[in-house]
Amino acid sequence: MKDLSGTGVRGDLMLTEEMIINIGPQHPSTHGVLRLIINLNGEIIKSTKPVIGYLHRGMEKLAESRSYYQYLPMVDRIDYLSSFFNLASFCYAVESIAELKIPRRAEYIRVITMEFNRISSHLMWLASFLLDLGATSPLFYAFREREEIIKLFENLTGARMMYNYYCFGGVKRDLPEGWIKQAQDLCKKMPKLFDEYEAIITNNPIFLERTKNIGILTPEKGIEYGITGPNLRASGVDMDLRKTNNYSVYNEFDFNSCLAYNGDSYDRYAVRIAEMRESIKIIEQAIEKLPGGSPEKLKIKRANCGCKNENCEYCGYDSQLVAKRVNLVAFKPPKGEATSYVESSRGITLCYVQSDGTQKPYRVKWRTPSFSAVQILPELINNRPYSDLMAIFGSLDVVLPEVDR
Amino acid sequence: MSNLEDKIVQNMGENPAIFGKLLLNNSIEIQSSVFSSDKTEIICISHENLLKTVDFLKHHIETRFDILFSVTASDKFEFFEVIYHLYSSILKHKVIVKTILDKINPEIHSLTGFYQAADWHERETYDLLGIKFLNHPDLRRILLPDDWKGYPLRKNYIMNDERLIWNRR
Repeated sequence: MKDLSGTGVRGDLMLTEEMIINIGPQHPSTHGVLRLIINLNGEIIKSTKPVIGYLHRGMEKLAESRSYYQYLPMVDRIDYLSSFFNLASFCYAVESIAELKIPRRAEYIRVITMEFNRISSHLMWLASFLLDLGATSPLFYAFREREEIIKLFENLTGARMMYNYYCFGGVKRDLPEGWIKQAQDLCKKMPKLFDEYEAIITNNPIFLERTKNIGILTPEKGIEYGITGPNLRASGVDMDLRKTNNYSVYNEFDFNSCLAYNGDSYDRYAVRIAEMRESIKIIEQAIEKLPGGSPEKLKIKRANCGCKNENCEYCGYDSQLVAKRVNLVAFKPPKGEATSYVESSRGITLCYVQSDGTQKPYRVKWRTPSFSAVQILPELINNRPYSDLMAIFGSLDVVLPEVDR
Repeated sequence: MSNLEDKIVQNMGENPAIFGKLLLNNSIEIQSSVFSSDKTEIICISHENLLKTVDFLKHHIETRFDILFSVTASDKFEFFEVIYHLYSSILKHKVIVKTILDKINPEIHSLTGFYQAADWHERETYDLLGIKFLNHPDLRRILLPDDWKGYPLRKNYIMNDERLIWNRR
């Protein structure tokens, strides 16, 4: 009997009758509640139907009945692994409607927290991806460092996951004393720790066997489906909004967008590891250039200076935290609409806000990168053996609350 | 046509409406071209011209909008607004295309012929706002259950569905 699937599995060893298997919604390796209806011919997946919506909380409808400040903490819950990006995209959209110009110190603090968040999100992905593939020990390595980042965030915001730290016009409070020292120590330590992961993962023959040339995403397919972020950069498309869109203050830092050219599961792993190293570089530069310097220094200088000059390095506009204290109850952006494009850890998060001049947003639309990643899943796993499913799906870094919103 | 061009120039101030002018020069009718609060160009077109405009924007050498970020809509009481966010991965620019639909029986052509990404985004818009996309391969609800009544993001949606009763405990 001839090879039906083109995967090297002999046809005479396969069952001839197709079988329908239901995976999920409650399944440990679906990273949430995704349901897949899979049509199997022997070991080979013939067709896949993803069913989503089990975590739909109606985030867009909830916005319409709440004021801007009431909605702000809910935004965190859209993607719980990278809360800062969601907060940032909602804040940037509302700020451009309300025409609030953010002080540079607040922007720098935003960049530092966002990049730390990118690392912690990628570490979580690394742990769960390798756990899906059957490797248990990377989980402990990744969580060791993630814990340190989470502790930094706890120190800063008081929360470990849902930070609610940004507000319209800036950030809510200054860095605590000693925070910068802790962050710098962590940045110094991190690259060595990334080397540790690479030592146990990158050249591991079992890992290579399961990820090389598996789930190849061509750049044309990726663009056609609207895949963004590390998944698209692993296919060789240089699309990094931090480089081209110049939101926030990213144009003041020297960093590379990380590319790989095969587009398989292994490349998606390689791009994310490289991105974590780049994030460390950005954080180090941002801490160095932070306007006003460390909070202890700023406090003393500001007390001594007291000149109230707009351009002063210590008491001027750029070393403030918030552009303009807005009234939490009566905050009313003018009529208008704005879209913010933020390069989050999974791709481009787009937040579209329409304001009708009242206290409540008229319409909020969230476009999240994982939504597209689930859509392309059938393209990648059809005609592959069943055992490749998790090697492909895990590498796409899908977070289900973000898909369903 | 010249009136419209004047209007665009006045609206823009210093920002030139690049894509709006390009469309006019290639004899594709647009209704207006304005800028949103974050300086992105919004091109408003009539829904009959949608396929022609998107075809032009995707393939013309100066636009090359090859990524569809999202399809969404907004209920404006008198009419629906359907909003497309386009981005070019080659030229790194973005544009928003808007069309206006009637409140009664809203129907518009699907963009699945141009972008595969439109498939799920249009299903989501159909699910939450009840806008029908013609020639869509598989127009079903995506986020809500198949037997859900009504379209939640419409402004006249009444939230007293019997399935929501646990919410009022």
